[in-house]
Amino acid sequence: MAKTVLLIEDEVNIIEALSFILSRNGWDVVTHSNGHDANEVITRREPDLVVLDVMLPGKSGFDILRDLRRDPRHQNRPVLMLTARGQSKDRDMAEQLGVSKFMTKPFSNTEVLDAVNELLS
Amino acid sequence: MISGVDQIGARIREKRIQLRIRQSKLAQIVGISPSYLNLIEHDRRRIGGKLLTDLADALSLDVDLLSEDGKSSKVARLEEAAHYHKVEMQTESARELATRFPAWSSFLIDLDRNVRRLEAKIDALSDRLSHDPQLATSLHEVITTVTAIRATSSILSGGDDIDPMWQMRFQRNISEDSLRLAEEAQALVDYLDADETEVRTGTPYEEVEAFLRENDYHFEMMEKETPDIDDILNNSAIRSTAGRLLARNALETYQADATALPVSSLSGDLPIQVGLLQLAQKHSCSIPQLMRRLACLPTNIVGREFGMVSMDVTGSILFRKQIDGFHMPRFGSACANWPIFQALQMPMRLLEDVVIHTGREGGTFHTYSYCEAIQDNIGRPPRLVAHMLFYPHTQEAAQATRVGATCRVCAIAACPSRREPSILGEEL
Repeated sequence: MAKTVLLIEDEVNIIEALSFILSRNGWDVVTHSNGHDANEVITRREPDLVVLDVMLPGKSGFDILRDLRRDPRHQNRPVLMLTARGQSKDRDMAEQLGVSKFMTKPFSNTEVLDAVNELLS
Repeated sequence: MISGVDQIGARIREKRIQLRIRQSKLAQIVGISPSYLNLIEHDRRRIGGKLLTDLADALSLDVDLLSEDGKSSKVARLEEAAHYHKVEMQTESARELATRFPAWSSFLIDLDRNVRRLEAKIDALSDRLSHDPQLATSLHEVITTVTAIRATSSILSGGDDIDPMWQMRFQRNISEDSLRLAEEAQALVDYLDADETEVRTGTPYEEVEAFLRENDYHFEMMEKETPDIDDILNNSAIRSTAGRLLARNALETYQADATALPVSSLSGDLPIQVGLLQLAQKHSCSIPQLMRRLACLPTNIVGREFGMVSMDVTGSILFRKQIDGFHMPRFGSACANWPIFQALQMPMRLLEDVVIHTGREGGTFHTYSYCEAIQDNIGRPPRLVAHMLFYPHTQEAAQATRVGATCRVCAIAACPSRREPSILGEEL
């Protein structure tokens, strides 16, 4: 059974491109595009990997990650964080909150695939 | 080598010999006898006025360089440039440089001026890049769109078979995104296309600061009466609603401070000689009130130039009055070594420190820092606002804390408080 990737991102064309390449590589892709109910969606879907944008409407990726790690059901769930803000303080914050991997936009498709492969292996 | 500032004759002689002009020829050109020129060249006759100008012209020299009243403006500027760039240069070396190589001297002075202008611009733009919310949003949109185009174009150019329907969809996405990127890039260029020398006022805080600076932080009309603040604001360049609100708050605070601590009551204590605490106790005013008065009253009244910064508990700068040598960032992220941050940890205690600001043209400053706890609502924790008043410290400072403006433009190499790498390569 294929593993499930939940892609939480608000930019429609990035969702389409990433969904396409992840699906083509054999994963089931579920998408969600706002932050305020993202934690509920994660709990309901129980994905094998969450690909999480930082800047989301309703709730930031950092807040979603923080709430996720406070929940015993999601403490070990892999989270790949995507951000357009490459500042070291953002990376530090993500690491403090327990991110599994952190990627800065603009990334290449190969980089995303390598990261997803690594986190789902 | 020329020596001594009063040896005009020696300078004339040296230049004449350098140009291979005979003494009699030069005397003829300026209309004096060779023997009189000989006396001048041996500093046995003092000269000035037209003869000095004629000799300078005949020798293609800056007349300032020959004048007796000390350094020429060019020499002074060369010395200033050398000092700024931490180059050891004696006055006579600067004078010799200006005398022998006037064009190179002018070039160095222009270069120094440009370096300083660009450094000021770097500081301002660095602040803006770090903290301007509009710029951050704009850059975020550009990067997001670039990411979408990159991801989509990689799929199309990957050489794999792609369903025609998906191909059309991705081509349409790229077309849309490229249009969007063009618009975002143009908006970004328009935003950054500020005046050549000035970074324009963008945020409401910048608008208010420009307004305060234009008025030298002093509003004479508020010293003796209570003018209509709307009239003042209507005559200002502040246009945004948020800017007007912030300016109104600043003016209301100024009015309250001026009423509580009029200049007439302070006049017996000016120029300031005693400690801040004693002065506040004497006038039964709060320490922040006294700090603001000292920072905003004209230098000729308080006796020295004061700078000041106020910030809330998040480190956001609420008020900033800069003075030479103590550069401060426009927004938050100030140097964590500033004593004001210690004050934030110890509310209601007046701290007195000496700091060395390590930025270019920095210096040693005496600082007073104080954090007030403002009780807005009973039953809720007080709101903390800290203030730091500072002025150039002219005495020896055995133990001074080294500070900067903000990490990005600070080059203190081993600073435990550093938050991010500096864009400067080495310690200044």
